[in-house]
Amino acid sequence: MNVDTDKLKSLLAVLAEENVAEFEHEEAGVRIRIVRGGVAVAAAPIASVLHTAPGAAKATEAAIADDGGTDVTSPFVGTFYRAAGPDVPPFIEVGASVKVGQTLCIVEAMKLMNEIEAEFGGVVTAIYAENGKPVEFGQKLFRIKKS
Amino acid sequence: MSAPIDAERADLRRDGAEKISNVFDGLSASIVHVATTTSTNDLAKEAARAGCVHGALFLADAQTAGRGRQGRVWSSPCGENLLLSVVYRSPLLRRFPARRPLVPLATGLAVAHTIADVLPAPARAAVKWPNDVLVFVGETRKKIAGILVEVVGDALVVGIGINVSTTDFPEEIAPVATSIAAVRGDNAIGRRQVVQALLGNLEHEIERVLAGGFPAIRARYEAAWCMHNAPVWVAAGGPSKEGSSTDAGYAATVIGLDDDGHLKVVDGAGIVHFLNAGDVHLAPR
Repeated sequence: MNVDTDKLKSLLAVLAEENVAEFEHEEAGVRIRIVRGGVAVAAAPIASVLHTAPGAAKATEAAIADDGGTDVTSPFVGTFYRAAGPDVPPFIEVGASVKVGQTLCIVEAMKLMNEIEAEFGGVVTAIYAENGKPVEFGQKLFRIKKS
Repeated sequence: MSAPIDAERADLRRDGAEKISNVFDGLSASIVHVATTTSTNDLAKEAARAGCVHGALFLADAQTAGRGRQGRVWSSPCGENLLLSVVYRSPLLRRFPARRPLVPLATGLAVAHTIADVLPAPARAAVKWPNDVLVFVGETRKKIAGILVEVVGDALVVGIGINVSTTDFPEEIAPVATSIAAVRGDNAIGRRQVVQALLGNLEHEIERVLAGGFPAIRARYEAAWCMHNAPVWVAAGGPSKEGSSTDAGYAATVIGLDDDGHLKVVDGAGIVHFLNAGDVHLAPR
């Protein structure tokens, strides 16, 4: 487990300053749970620390898996949208062919709209993320089998 | 189209061109002003993809598909309001790409300042996180501007709609929409004056936030916002409509902003949430 101690210290400072009793956060497979002063809060919603999205609006490629498909991951933290609006069709569906530069989805961070474009052509074999839900940096969004 | 609008449009072109070349000094900004387009963001995005210069400005008298976040409609009668998009591609933007999500906040602040400068007291223009601009008059709270910032490669397209002259709003938005003319009770402020002030404020705030991060605009943002200790509804699970009682989410109270411009709220159980996306609605007054 790899914990950024500086980040953890500033987190603890904020929790103390705001008098937060309990805090839980998961990122990149690391789950942090903090209960201050031995006071547990039952069945409370879990707060999450979200990080500002870094720049380029290009989907990043993850390692190529055995089935020949390539995972497209989120280049930043934000909210994932499969369509340009609630009443229009999704940009892509499973089974669809995509071309280089084609819009796959939108990831929104503080109302900055990032259209994520395909960096390679192929066929969509899986859609991992759910419309309207938060996505983390590096989270798998799609699987595309290169053509 | 009426003669005064044509005349004003000519003025806007001429004076706007002079002003903008001052604002973007040394950057050969271009101006495109069309009568009608789908959305000025569409024009600007197409130009940005084709590699247009920093500061390229796109204005329209009317939009056939004006839109906000997640396809929400932005409607405006022809020639009455300011509808524009600017392509932003400055050296600071390239240098600090991680600060891009702060641009909508800086844009909201610039729009709020521009509007506040032409509204008489006791009307107050304020920012609602991250970038809505509302006008408060007595007990009423109405939307006067809309902002949609989109990423296109290494550029940002900053789209802004400001209600300037409309006083007769469609029935469905009349309770929640207003304009500079409606608040002032006169037509003394034209689009030309607003666009000139806006472009100066916009570049000032965006360059500051890119150079110094959110702390560089925090004091002005907090002075201009309307959310200090405000009760809010945080919508979860995707886009939702303002005031919808069926939204999934939770009630919370705003406690501040962190150094990344994220909204800090505390819910009923005392849990602090840091928000960077999604819908946060002010509780009904």
